[in-house]
Amino acid sequence: MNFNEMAENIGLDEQDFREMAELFVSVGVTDLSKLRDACASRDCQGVLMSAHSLKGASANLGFTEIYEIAKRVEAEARAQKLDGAGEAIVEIERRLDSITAALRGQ
Amino acid sequence: MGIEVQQTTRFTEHVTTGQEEYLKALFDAVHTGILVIDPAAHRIIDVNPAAARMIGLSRNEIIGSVCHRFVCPAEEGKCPVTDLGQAIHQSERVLRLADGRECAIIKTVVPTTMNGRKCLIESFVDISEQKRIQREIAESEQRTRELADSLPQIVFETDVAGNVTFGNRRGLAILRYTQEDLDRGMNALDMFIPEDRDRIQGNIIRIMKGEILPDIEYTARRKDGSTLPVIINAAPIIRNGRAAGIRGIIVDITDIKRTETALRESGSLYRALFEGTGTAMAIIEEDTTISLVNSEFEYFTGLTRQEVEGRRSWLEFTPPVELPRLTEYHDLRRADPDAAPRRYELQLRDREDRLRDIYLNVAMIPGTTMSVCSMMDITERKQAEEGLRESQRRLADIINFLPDATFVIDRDGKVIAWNNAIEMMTGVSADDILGKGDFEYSLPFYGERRPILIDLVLNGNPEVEDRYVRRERQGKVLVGETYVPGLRGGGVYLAGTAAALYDSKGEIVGAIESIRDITDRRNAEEELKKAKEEAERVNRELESINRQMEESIERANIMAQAAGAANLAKSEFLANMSHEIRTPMNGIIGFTTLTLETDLDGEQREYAEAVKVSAENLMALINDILDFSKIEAGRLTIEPIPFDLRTTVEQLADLLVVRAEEKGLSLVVRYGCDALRRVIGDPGRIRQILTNLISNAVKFTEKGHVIIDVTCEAKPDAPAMFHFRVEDTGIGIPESKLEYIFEKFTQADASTTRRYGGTGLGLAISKQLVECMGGRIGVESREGKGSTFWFSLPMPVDTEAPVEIIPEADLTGVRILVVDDREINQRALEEQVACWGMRCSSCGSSEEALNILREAHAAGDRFQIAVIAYHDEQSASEDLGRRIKADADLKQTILVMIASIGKRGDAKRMQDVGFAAYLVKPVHSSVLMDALATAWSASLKGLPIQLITRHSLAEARSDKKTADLQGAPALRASVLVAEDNPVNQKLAVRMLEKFDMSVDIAATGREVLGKLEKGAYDIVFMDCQMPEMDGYEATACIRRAEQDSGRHLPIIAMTANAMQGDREKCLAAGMDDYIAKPIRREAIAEMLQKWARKNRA
Repeated sequence: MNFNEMAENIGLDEQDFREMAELFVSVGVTDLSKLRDACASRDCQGVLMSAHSLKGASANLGFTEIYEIAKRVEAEARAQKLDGAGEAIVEIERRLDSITAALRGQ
Repeated sequence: MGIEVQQTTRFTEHVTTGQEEYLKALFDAVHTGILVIDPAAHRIIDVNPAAARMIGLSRNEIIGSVCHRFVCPAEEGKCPVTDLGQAIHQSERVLRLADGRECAIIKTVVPTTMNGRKCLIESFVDISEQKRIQREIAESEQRTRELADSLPQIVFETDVAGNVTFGNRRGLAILRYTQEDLDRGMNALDMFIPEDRDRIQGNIIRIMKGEILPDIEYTARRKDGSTLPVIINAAPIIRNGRAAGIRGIIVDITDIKRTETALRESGSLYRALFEGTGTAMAIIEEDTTISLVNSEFEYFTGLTRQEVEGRRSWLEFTPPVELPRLTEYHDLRRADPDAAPRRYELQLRDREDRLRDIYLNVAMIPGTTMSVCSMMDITERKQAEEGLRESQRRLADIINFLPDATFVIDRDGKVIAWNNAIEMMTGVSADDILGKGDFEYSLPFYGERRPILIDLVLNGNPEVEDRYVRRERQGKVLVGETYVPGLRGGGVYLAGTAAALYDSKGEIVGAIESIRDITDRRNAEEELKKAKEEAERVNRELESINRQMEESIERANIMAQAAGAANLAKSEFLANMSHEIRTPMNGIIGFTTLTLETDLDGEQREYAEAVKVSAENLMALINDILDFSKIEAGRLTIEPIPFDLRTTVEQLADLLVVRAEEKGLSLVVRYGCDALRRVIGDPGRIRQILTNLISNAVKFTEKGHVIIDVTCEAKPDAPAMFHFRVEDTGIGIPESKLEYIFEKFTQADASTTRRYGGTGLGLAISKQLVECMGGRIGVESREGKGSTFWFSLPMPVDTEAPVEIIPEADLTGVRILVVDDREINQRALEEQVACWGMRCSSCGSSEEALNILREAHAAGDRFQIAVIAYHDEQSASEDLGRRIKADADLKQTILVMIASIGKRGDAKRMQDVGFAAYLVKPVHSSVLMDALATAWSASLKGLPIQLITRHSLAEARSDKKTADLQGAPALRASVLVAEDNPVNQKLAVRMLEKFDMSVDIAATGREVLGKLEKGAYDIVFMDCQMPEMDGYEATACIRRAEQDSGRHLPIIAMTANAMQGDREKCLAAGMDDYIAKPIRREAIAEMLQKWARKNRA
């Protein structure tokens, strides 16, 4: 993960971007646990809200993989479908972890 | 000879046995020369007659001489026998003769004793003849080899096994072998392709047996494997009566083969042409003999070619009357091929002795005295033509009898009959008009050449049809009435009857028209009609006056009672209600949009889309009603502020260009008053009017363009007058509707409403707004051609406006070529660059462009910049770019591409092609100027640059502006960001802080309202989806509150749903502008520039 390049893409310096990324991970973990709860109770509206939040933030920072997953979950939830959500949660969690690892790694 | 010497030696041994006499006789009789030498004294002590004969002296003269006087004179003092004690057997030596000549000998020396004395017996024979023959053989061989080497063919010899024993140098070279290859050993078969080897082996045996073979073709193979056709001419080498091998010449016949093939092909080509033309043809020799004919000729004459070719002269086929002429041609043509006519008609007798009309075509065969002639039988054609003329003549006779003026034309429009009656009517005689075409017949009637009724039966022509007052078709006959102003010195009414003429196959061969003068009848009718109309008109006027009086009285009464109050109340009510209606409408539109994003079946989707479209239409109507109510309620306020008119117009065009591009229309802005752009007026209202006019133009135009044109005229004692024109190439407006077009709820007709939608209030509102600002509005239109809406506004120029940024490089005098396939875009670009003093040319195609560039280069006045802007075919732009960059003379040209639609990856590709700038439409003056100036300045300084794009320019600008902002702390603006997600909050804050803004955050719509109550902000960035109260609702609340304060807070929407229609939705909700998530720095910069500063100003 090249934070410098990602920072440049949105017109920030790397230090700022790292701060943003940390914030993103901590907010993302909260969103993710809300998503998990909503999913467990088959609450489509809840899934939709948390996915939407993840989607917006990841898009802004350029975490495109998370953005794509969140977008898919949001669209499916809107159509009252939660089939793929479980897998998506695992996937998002994995990616959040790898961001954290990358942040600590340097 | 060696044997003789040996015998001598043997017999000498017998001397000791005492057979002296016998030996003496032998000594004298042998032909071998014998010398007896005293080795100690080197002196000759005896010599036989044979030796004496050879030397040419008597025995006495020889005996006693030093041996070297005669034998081996060169070896005197180093004689191997006498001096060195060696014996010699049959060695080649030299004998010096008496006359001084030297003679080659073979000599054997035997030491012996005679009478107790040691002596040497030297016996020798003359071998000079043998030597000479040997030398001659060697020389001959050398000559043969040199000769063989000099031959251009391959010369070879082989032994019986086919091993090559000799090959000439040239031959080796042809086959790409070397002498070394030959020395290593080669077999003749190796020099041919494997397929030929059996044949060759067989033929070698046949040659060695003495058979003489004809030249046979083979395929030789060179050392490198390539092949060549050859023929071999070989003979056996006979040694001692037996074949010892073969010797021969191999000739490379590549060229011969090629020529043969070409000859064969051209021969058969000409033969096929000659036979296949379908016309009779003959080749004629100088003495008039026919040397060659084809099968058509045989058919025509009924003679076979054996009976004709080389046997007959063409003279015997020619009728006597034609003969002098044709023989003259024949002779002339042989003196000079062009002297006689090449084509002419004549008559010839055919196989049945019938006289036929022949069209003859003769030409000399170059390089020979022969000519070739082809004959076409045109008898039938001539008869048909004659028949046609005959029938036309008959037709003319018939129509001459007709009492009505009548004429006939053929299919080509030529007059072929013109009767007496029409001569009388027009004063034009048949002789003067027969055979003339090109509407000659309309001249006497109309004084000009043009289609008339008779032409209508051949081709329908609406323009012509309109000229006829009364026109109808009665079966195949067309009847029309018209007024002809200038016949016989006065106007007449004519009734025409016209019909097509058909041939036996039912095809039209011409047309006939007969004309009757009905002036008298028409005049009577006219009189009657006029009288009736006059009576009706008087009646109507009376009624109308009555009615007007009644209406006036009534209206006066009503107005007196209700005028201001009721209407005002109604409008007031509507103005207030509109806001109340708008909020739920936003809900309907919003949720319909969400519904459409879910999985719907076809029917559901259709219904949902219908709901959305209806809701949006209703919303637009409500907005319009609100505006209109405000106007009627007198609450419309105009707030003049200083603003940049040009930027306002261009940014508006940016918003609307999406729709235009979707329909394939060019949306062009022409700002013709560059000196005056900072003015004082109400930009919001001007935008509103322009939005309405431009949207209409785009809506009602299916192809072509929409031009927004702004010009101004400065006035010495009054505000400058700005003229805005929106010109389209759309459906236009019927003339009858033009005067009502600005009235409310009016569209050109009801069907357009159904087709194009719209409230019918837009133009009425525009008119009110223009008039409120002291201006005028109007329209010019031609149905089917397009409309031009215009309005003029007086606006003072802002004299305190900041000075424009001057571009980095002066573009004056720089030569620029504009390549654009749409002429309107070409013109717009030309005008823009001309404003900057550039020298501009333009064209519409790549070929033209390359020609222009090359000519300019050749003339030493090259184009420095080329702007390539294909509208319809974007790939053509790229292709032209490549071709310019590939041309060594032109590749210096700076290339700027203007694309209609930007695609991901295009920019990178264009940079690779060599474009300096890649801009996506619409490209406004300021952007184009920046791009050209940046590219030109980099080129002047010789600096390499990154591809120039709208973004790179915007960044460069925002850098400048950031600097400006930082340099002026007084301008520090405060921003409110409404956003619920903490990540996005922080990001927005970070970005805004970079622009030196003071930033506050609100997480919900309610919080926004709370913040606004406490403090003032210059601009709000509003997330559309927030908990508690979303962005649309919050905006609606803010706008409601502003109703009283009269202020206007810029609200910029931020939404992740980057969909078409989102922008409109935000604008409809009362927001001012829109940026799509993900949030980007450039977008924020643009918004701040556009809204925050202006608000401050």
